Amino acid sequence: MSLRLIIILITTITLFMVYVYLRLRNNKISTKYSLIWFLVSFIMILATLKHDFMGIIANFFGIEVTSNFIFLIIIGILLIIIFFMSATVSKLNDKTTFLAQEVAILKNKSKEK
Amino acid sequence: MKALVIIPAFNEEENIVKTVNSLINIKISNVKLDYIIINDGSNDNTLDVIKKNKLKFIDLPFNLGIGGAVQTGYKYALYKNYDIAIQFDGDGQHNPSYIESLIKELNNGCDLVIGSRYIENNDTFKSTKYRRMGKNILSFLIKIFTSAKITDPTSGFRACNKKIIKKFADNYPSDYPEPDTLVSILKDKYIVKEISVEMNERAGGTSSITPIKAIYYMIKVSFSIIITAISKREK
Repeated sequence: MSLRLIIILITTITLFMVYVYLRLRNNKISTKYSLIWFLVSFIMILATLKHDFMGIIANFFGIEVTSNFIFLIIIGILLIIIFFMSATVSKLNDKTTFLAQEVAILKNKSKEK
Repeated sequence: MKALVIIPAFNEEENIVKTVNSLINIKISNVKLDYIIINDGSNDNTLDVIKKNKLKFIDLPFNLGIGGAVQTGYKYALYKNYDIAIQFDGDGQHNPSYIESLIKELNNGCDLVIGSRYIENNDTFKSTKYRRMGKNILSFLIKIFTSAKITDPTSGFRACNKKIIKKFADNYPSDYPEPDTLVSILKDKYIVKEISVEMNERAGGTSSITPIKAIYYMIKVSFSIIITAISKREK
């Protein structure tokens, strides 16, 4: 992995972590979700810094270029996060439907009185 | 006995008054027949028309889709302690004179009664080749998984008793819910019966199902039937 790529990756990830922190401070992301992103960022920094070690594991899996292996891990993590996001959206959708129905029925009730 | 006719309405400004007028003239002995329109976030003048004609309605704050709208009606029926709930389309497709026969079957011990277009092979309801094909696939799936013969699984003209009202108020799929709910009810060993009805062509407005949606519908409903069928019973 070239030094230039390492620097770009580390800088981007650090900036991202600062951004997540700022959002967390202003209550614009819940602690639960910010934790996921801090963890992901941390894993990415570790993988970038210890790319020699990653290279050994990459070789073990038969992947020649270490950065490809890191990308593979990142994509894997992202897919998992997206899956749980869609589960969360489904749950929120159900809750919104429930609220809309109850509000509509309550409005109808107060009108009758 | 108190019965509630649930009329889901999405953009039905042309039909809704006609639909309600055809309903309120229906008199059934020993049954007090009420109706409620569920305005499902219509973006035409449906709500104005309803208010101007002083019809009874529940106004959803935004569009929930047919399942969410109908479920609102079932919840209302549950809260108001109705004995019977009847689903009735707001677009004038359903003929209210059949409501009496639906209720009669409920009194004979059925839990859910469906108004079917296809029971006597009468070709009064003009249906396209593809619509019949889709309907046959769904009937076949229901037959495999529940061994019940349902000729019109997508019919939105249905009546049910208190037990089913409770069940639907608690849990109802959001879009294209008819075949799905049938499977779950049949699996729970409730008694379902079909009676033959004639349906009119849509009096006005446009149908909600386009060809692309129809294919998506078939895939989704078939998938949903299979998942419901192989899942464990809730009770």
